[in-house]
Amino acid sequence: MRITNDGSYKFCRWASAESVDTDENIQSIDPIQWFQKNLSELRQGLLSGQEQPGCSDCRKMESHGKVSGRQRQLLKVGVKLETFTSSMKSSKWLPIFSSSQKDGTTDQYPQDWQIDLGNYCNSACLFCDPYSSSRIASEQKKLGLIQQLPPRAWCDDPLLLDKFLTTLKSSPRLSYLHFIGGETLITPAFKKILSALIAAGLHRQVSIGFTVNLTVWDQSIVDMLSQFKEVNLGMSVECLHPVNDYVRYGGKLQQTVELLKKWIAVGKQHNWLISLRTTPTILSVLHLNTVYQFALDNQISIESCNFLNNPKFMRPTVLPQIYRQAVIDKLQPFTKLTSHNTQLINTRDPNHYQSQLCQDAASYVSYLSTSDDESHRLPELISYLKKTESIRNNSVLDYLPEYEELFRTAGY
Amino acid sequence: MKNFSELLATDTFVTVTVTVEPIVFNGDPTAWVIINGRKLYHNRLSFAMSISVEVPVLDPIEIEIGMSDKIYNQHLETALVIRSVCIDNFEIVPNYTHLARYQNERNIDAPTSYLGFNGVWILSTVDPFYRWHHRVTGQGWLLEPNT
Repeated sequence: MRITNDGSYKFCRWASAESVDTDENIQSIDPIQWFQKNLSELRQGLLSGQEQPGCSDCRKMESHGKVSGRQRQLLKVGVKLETFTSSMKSSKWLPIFSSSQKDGTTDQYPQDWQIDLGNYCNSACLFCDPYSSSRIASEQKKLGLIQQLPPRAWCDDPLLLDKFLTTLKSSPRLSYLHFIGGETLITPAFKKILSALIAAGLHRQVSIGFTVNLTVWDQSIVDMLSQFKEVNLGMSVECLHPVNDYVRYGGKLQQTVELLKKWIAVGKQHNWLISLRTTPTILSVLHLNTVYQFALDNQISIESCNFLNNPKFMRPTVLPQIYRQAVIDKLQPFTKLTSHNTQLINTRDPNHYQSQLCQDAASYVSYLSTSDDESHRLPELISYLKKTESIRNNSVLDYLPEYEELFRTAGY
Repeated sequence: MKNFSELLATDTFVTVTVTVEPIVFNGDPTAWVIINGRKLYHNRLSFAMSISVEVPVLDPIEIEIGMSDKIYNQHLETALVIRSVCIDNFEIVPNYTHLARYQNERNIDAPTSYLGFNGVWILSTVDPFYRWHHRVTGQGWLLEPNT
């Protein structure tokens, strides 16, 4: 289950934009009631084999051999797509799913949460949006791209935060909490929630997942995290090339690498599951290989986010085919690291980082090789870049001279 | 399979296949194969043999492969080699041989698929196969329903 920045609920952390948005929100309805009762129609639809709005992103990932959110969540109940019937029949959850057939309700509590904590962020990544970055929000308001700043996060309201914490504490078998912002380390609610979980003794039971933007460090948070049963740390970086500073504006590559190494050291010290998280875009994909190389050299896994949906003009598929080949050529060596025949779904097993790297790279080779050309969106990209550069005083051509002809043709 | 009701209505089985091959320089060994208490073979074995059986998906699986009547001779060998133990196309030998136990009259219990002593090689999943498979192949922690 997911709670978004404004406190509204979604049935899945990966549910795409087409999923039905409701105004069902932590202000108006208890999270447990929403989970147990309000998802009844969705459950009945899933059990009757109907495709659901909001599930399309997972299908797209699977079509390119990229491990989808659906596959990850199924694995957590012991189910794999390639052995679906047998593994589902063997799952301890079968009677629970079966009992939901009648009216779609359940008496279970959510055990696995995606918790969006608002848009506190000191970075202004070009592919981000005002709801996920306060810096982007300010910038876009200055540029006239938005009229109003997003509403404050649900967790900034002490009463709502307390309500949510009560929910967590009363949930039997609470297992996994994944936090995103913004930048979690500078989000006040992150520390408050961690502290409350420790005070309630839930740190012995719960695994924590979170992502950092490699611009800040907070030792007090590291100390709290080290008390938890398990920590899944994602470190966001697009490439180990200066263009990372252009795309992830607010960062400096040297500092990024220093913090990367610091997090890796802490992660290894505490036996955390650590991975590099990337969101490949048209601007960073040319140097995506540098992240795979870093991951290989440091024996850690890489977990690229779902193929970018929005903003559409930032998608790697906006690159014309002729430019994509250079990217594919750079990624190909990583697809040959192992000869893993079966798809690796548990991508967070550190023993299989090479297979996971190989698989992730292969999914991007497939995606770039076969996806439709979206280069008609280039003018929109250039228009956006020119606007942001007017405030940031930088130029994309300083970082990607290889694309000068392409960008000038599109109006740069 | 289009929906959950169809899934519930379908009887589901796993296929267990065992392939053994005797070494007969000092006579044919007596070999036996028992899967979930069902004796599928028990006789002298002169040539390689494969046996398959279907087991309901929720039944734990116990495979016994045994050899008896070996006359020990340091110059001529009699033995039973487990060439393959496969459950729903998942090969247990050799990568998961260490999960089996070998009870033999010489009390040598190192992981093996070579039965050189009179005794029995036993692999027991304890849980239904797919739950066992999830665990032994390191698929990560599982969410457990609240009952």
